[in-house]
Amino acid sequence: MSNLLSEKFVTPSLPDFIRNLVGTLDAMHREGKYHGKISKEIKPWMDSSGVNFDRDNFRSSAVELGNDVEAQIQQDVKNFVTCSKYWISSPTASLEADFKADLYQGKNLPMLFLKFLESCNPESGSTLRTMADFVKTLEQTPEPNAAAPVEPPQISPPASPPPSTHTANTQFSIALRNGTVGKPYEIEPSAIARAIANQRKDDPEKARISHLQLPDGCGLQFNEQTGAVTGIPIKALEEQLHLDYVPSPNETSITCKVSLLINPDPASLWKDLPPPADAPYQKDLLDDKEYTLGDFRIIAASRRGRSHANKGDFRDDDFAVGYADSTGWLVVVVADGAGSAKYSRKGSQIACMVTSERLVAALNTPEYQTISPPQIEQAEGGPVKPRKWLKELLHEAALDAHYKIQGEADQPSETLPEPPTIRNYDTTLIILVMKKLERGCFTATFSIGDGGAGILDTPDYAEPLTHADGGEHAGQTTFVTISSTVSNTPENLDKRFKMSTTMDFTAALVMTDGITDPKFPSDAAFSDPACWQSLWQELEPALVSSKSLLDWMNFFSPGNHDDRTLIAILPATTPSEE
Amino acid sequence: MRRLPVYLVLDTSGSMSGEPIQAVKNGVQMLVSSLRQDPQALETAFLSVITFDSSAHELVPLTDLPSFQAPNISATGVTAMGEALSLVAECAKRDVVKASATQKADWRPMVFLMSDGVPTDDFEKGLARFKLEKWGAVVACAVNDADVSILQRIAPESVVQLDTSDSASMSAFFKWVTASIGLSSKSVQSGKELEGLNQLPPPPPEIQVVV
Repeated sequence: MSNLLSEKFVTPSLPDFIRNLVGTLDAMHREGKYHGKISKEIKPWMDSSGVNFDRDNFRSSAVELGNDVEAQIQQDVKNFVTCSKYWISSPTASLEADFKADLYQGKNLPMLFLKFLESCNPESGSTLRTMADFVKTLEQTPEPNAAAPVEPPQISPPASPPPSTHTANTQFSIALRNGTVGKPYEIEPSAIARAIANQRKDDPEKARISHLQLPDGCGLQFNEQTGAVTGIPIKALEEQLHLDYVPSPNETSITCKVSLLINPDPASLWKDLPPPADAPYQKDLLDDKEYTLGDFRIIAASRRGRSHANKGDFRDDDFAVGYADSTGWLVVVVADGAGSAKYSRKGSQIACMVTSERLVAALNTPEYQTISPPQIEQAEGGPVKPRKWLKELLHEAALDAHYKIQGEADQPSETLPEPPTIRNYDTTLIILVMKKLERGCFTATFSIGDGGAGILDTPDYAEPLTHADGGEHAGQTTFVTISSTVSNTPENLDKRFKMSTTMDFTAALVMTDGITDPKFPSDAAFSDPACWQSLWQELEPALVSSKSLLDWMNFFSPGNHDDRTLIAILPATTPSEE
Repeated sequence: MRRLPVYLVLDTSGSMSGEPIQAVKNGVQMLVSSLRQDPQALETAFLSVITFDSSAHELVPLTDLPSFQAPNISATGVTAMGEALSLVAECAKRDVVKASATQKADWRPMVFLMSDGVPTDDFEKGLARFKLEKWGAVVACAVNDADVSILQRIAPESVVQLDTSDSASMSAFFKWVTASIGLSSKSVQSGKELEGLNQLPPPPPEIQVVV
């Protein structure tokens, strides 16, 4: 065998197997052999050198580095070390001392070999050449007293060194519990020592960790007295660390590997990308408005969700507010364009505009001027027919939205790459109309799809005003763009229409599912007045302006990153109160 | 929050030993590391690892990605694929939250099964049990000499094939699984579940789709 590189290593103090390893790898690579072949040939003498060599592991972890033979050998030696189940121990600063000591004591050589390779500055030239120089300097160094222990200084009572097999050939590794940036992290006192003791069948009561090197500036601290790890992680990492384990007070420490993983803060991973500037149907990413209309104060805001911002998608939500000033009817509409429909941002916009305009026009007629609670109670479908049942009026507005969206699909107002269909504009729709009565307040809703509306009165009253169109599976809903959903059947109308009369109210809320999903985690929660009240507690301080509502709507809730739209309707404060 | 459960069902029989099993191990590690960089997957995806050799083992129960620790996998024994199918079905039955008045349902679980062999146990029994659960996307990956027709019975329209089990093709497979989970977690957050191969990202050239 021609040991090209090992010829450079005239180093009698290096054990044969290291020289053989380098030489063999060198020769084989130059002959163009595969890793499988290499591992097969080196295994027998690796075993005969007393090294527990995992051939399969070696072969599979090999990396092809092209024609760079020296880099290849260096990589292979690293793999060899990994596969030989040696620990990587003390910091590279003490490398040279360790190397010398172990070199003369014949301990842990492959490990040191690796540390040496890693410590060589790749910029300074060939690693292997640097190594040859290093070994030469070693040869000139007098051999130290072999009995002198070269242990780290921090170890407890002096003791006879443990058998070398005890430290070198015992494989155990510990993974610390994963952490997340910004969330308090704690490993209980002694827990790590106990875990290692149990693996090694040592006495857990006597074992302790004398040292654990945590990455600088990671935000975690190791308490050497108690063995606890505490702190708040400040950066994401995935690292192999080292710790010194002392099995019992009479024994010296053993260095072992420990892995630690800190997850990034999910909030920091979201990107905020603008939608393509050349896409049709451009739309603002944020929208907010506030009004005082007759008896009502309205604060409305709508913002693009994180999941949309992350992909550079548009805000698909929309809203509209209208007021019939001759009769005092308020009209509020929110719509949530489907994420799966490419022009749903336009669909939701049309739906809101069309329904609010149509309803304001219709309700602004004298027929809708008077409406009294007894009439509402008696009527089977809404207030006694002034011109039309209110239920039919709301339904017709939704139907109108359907046809206007169909019209847009047939003749798009913008240039589109290909002819759209109405389903490209899928959107939900929630209409709420409200009128102050002589005593109390009347509200009616018509809803298609998810999201929801409700009215509440502090401290404990709340009434949901919509049924969410949830499917049997999570996430299914329906849209105003689906014909059967806007059909004129009595069952369909009854399901979608709801009305209520209250004596007093604190607020009525109309929301898309970007708000209802995180705030009402289930259908039961949506019917629970306590949930409405706790939402109100959170929301009320934000209702000083539509801008502050917009800020509040940026709250972080895992798994809930859809567009969010919320319209709060409050009784207008009377002039005397202002 | 609605979770997206993902079951990795991996063949760890003796024939996978050496480079293949190391590649699987690296693949799982890579999968988790890259999903951790995806905010939607990090929140939504829950991962379980089930291995099968002479018997089936729930190596890692369904775990959220932030807490997940890659398991140590070794290869030995024969191919108890039937038992693995029963086990993953039992795990899903136990783990996956069904809709109720007070709780929203989890998304239907995804299954990625990888095998390089032929079942050596009662496959029919396991398959029958597997079919009792409701699954989202189920993808089976045939490695080397695996019996494709067997895998097609598990995932009728979603069998892919790796002709070699070297680290490069394994790594390509796990990258594709990663992309699939990532896409699925985005998709469920906008309310849509992925069901079959045609909705997953296109497989890389190392992976052949079996028709």
